[in-house]
Amino acid sequence: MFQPVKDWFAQKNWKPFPYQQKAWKAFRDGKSGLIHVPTGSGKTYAATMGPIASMLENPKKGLKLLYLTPLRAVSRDIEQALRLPIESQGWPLKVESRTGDTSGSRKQKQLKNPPDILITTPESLSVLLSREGSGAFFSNLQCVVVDEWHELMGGKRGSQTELCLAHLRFLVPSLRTWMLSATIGNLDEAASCGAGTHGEAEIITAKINRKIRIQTLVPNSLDSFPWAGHLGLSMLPELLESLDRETSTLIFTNTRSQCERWYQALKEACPEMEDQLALHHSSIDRADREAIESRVKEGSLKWVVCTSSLDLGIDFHPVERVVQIGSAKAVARLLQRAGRSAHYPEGCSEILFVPTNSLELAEISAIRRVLKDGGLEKRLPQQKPFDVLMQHLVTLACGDGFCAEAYLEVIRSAHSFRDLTEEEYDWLLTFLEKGGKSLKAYPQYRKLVREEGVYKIAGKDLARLHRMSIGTIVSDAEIQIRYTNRRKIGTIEEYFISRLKRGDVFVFSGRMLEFLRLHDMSAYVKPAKKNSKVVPAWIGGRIPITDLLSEALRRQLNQSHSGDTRVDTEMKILDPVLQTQQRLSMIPAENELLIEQVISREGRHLFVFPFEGRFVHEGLAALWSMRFVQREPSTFSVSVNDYGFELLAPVDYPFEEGLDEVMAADPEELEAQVADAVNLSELTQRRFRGVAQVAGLVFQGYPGSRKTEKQLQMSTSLLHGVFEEFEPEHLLLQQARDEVLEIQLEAPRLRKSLERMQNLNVVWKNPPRPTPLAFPLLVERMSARMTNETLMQRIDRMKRQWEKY
Amino acid sequence: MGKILETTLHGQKIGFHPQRVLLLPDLDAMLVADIHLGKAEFMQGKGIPLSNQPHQKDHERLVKLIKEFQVKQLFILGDLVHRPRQNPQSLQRLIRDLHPLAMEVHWIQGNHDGDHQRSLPDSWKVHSNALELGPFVLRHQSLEEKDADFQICGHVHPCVKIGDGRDKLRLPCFALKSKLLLLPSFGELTGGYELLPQEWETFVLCLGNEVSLLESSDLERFKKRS
Repeated sequence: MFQPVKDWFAQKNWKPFPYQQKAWKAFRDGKSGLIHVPTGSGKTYAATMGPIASMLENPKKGLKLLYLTPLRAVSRDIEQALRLPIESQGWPLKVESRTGDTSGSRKQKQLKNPPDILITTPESLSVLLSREGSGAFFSNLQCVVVDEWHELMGGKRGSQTELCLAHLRFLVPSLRTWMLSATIGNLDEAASCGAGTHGEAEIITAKINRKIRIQTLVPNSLDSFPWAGHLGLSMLPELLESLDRETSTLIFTNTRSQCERWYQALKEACPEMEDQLALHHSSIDRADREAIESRVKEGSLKWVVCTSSLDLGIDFHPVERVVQIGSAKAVARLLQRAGRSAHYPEGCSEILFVPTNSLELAEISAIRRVLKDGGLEKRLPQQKPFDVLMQHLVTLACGDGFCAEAYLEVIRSAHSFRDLTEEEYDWLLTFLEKGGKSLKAYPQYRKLVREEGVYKIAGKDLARLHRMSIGTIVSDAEIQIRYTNRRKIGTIEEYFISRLKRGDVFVFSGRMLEFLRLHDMSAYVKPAKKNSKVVPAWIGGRIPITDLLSEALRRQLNQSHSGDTRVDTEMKILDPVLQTQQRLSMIPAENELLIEQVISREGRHLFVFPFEGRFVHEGLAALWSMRFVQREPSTFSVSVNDYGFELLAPVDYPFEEGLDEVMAADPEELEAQVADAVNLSELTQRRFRGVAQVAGLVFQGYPGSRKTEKQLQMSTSLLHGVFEEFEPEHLLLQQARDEVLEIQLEAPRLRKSLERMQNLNVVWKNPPRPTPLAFPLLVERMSARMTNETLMQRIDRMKRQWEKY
Repeated sequence: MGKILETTLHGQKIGFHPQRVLLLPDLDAMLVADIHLGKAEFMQGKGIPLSNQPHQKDHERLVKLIKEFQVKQLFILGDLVHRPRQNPQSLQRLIRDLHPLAMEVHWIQGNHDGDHQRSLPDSWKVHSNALELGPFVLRHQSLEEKDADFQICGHVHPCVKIGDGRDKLRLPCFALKSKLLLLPSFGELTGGYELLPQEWETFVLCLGNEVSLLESSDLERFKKRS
């Protein structure tokens, strides 16, 4: 069966890898599975040549291979990769792409005359399922390939994909599914998620040994190297020394603001590089981003400063070097980025790490340890996201409909929903049909109707509205930045724009822009004549260090505490800082919890160092604040980072007296207490926004929508308030709450930390001034966050703060 | 039901009530704006599951306030209903429950109101534009006029944002400047529109059971610092 494929490979002078042949055979044998190989190792052909060989042997009409990719831009690259053999060998196969960019007329043609191979995104697949006749369209489907599965799996997009696959398996029981994944810590789980609860997955790995080399840029002078702060621009001279003008380099930063700053810094330092220097992040207009990606591919751009926006995507062949500014916070992320520099299966991945402050040196050292021990983060699959399921059910109802009774089993075959109970299913159906539990409260509600056991959409107008908002990517309330000719530059958060006055200059998308006016969710700007150092900030939370890494970090510090001489370059550089820490206070051992109390003009500071990542520290800080304040009322300021947290109280506050009581954690009561401490209702309200959007409860629309759509816009906070008051058992409210606890507060990790902390020896120190560990927290401190204030107290407090100015 | 903030405006005693109504005690009058009855039903028809129970709450709140202050004249500054051609049950019920309270009801038409004259009792008077009340002119939407009288208006659903970063609040409010007083929207299901502090003198924040006075100049000073 594989002769045509072998012929083509022979013609290209390629020898199929053993793993590719394994994959083709597995497909032929009717198996589903997961292929896991480094980028640039031929995974596309490994996954697709099996189905293609089968199509050539047994020609049939209709769609036979569906290739799902999360990135629109990649679909074109895959299309080209598949056209290559089809055209050169004259195979009678048609391959097409279908994404949001595809023209309406082309889409129509694809429906009338389906291609043999279709490359599309999970969202476009859902839209296909929302059309009547989708059953017929997919009736001859043999295989679905899902790219970047490790990336999809951990989020709602993965759940949406799973539900679509479950539906396709329901339509075509003989369907085979193949996931393509990068290396993660739980491949088995990833494979079984991909295959569904009734399927078995074969894992195919390439025995390709890719070495990784991590180099750290050493500060020229340790004296001026910061203990704290996270811009790292002080390392600019050293970085410039190591960059090469002819070598294509990706420079990763952790935030968009840093990306803008570094781009400006490099541009100013090397004006001759301006045409070959670019920046790339998610808030830059998509057309500009795609242009930059093309230019990297063809080699006309040499240095690109970027964020995680370039984590995924087709292999950029010209890229030879990868730089990481600041800690990547996760081992897998560092590995993946380093992999962007190796394009041949046996190639060596290299990454240059630029520390932005001292403690990051310890982080990179910890990463080395983890890599040596073969550790890697897991991607945890989503647990029953109801909003995604609701959207999916409405999608099906817009198309061929679904049978209420039979469909529960189909849903349960999707891994995320294997635990869906009958009550939950019934609740969702009632909600979709009636609006809520009380008929009197929703007299005019219409969405789905039930005809002879089959659910269908209640009207074409509702179907149209639904299709426009299919997807799990939630839009933030962002302002579109445009030139006066309406040309789009990118988007910025509202909070930044609201502070600008006409004439203010800021840097964005690498340009100096002068703010003119705000109109209708667009901010109009013109090129500025003067310079500015003002860069927008995006309030989006910073990702915390992973638990794998924080554990390694604790061990690393512990080793230096015990004077272990098995140190690497980074720990050697860090030595003077560690000495200072030891002198002023101490370096905690693995079985110790260090607490430092410092008195300053600001008040009495309590620094606590669990080393568990910023989200856990936020929960801990809130919990401790609440407990202290219950004992002895006061007002605290709070600051957190990945290493610890700080509580700042008035100068005579008795922290020491209250410590035992505060630390006595009852893991059973934890959730309730944390909920209380962090003002869970407010956090849930914000989270609910995303949930409501995905579930289709609100209509997002887009600028320039028809008037009718504008009237349907309603704030999710309003809906949240109504649900909280009148429908407190609403599954979507519960989901928002669970998401806050799981994702934002990392409640499971918080519980583990509390348990671990209970068994540590508390070491209390009173250093004369802030230590190297404490200093970053001082620098970090933002607006005060209080607990248990009434609304009036909160306003009075804000007023008093203003009076100071 | 809440602590009122009393003051004098153009010689008239007025009271800002935290439940989002304005009282004129010397006239036994109460001013309310933007209730938007029927909005829930409208959204439901478009597949959005917005419960109509908040309309019931609005109804109860309004009746309670009227009884507490023994209001003899009720002034509705527009947008009592959400859709002009709708005649929602919530409106019918409100008319029925207000009837025994022996009041004059003045309904100044807003952009969402429509042709309801036929179903109204005699105690209700519909005004298509403006209505004078003492030194004030009541309108749904304010007009820009030179040498204008002092206007009291609705329509905007005013809100003000205070605080910053993670510590911010967005609250419905009364907004005051030299010739204009805006009323907050009364209905629970009404959204809010954020006012720019630099365009106003004073805000009275509605916190449900009390109000908080805020001078716009304080708000401005805080913003400049950040």
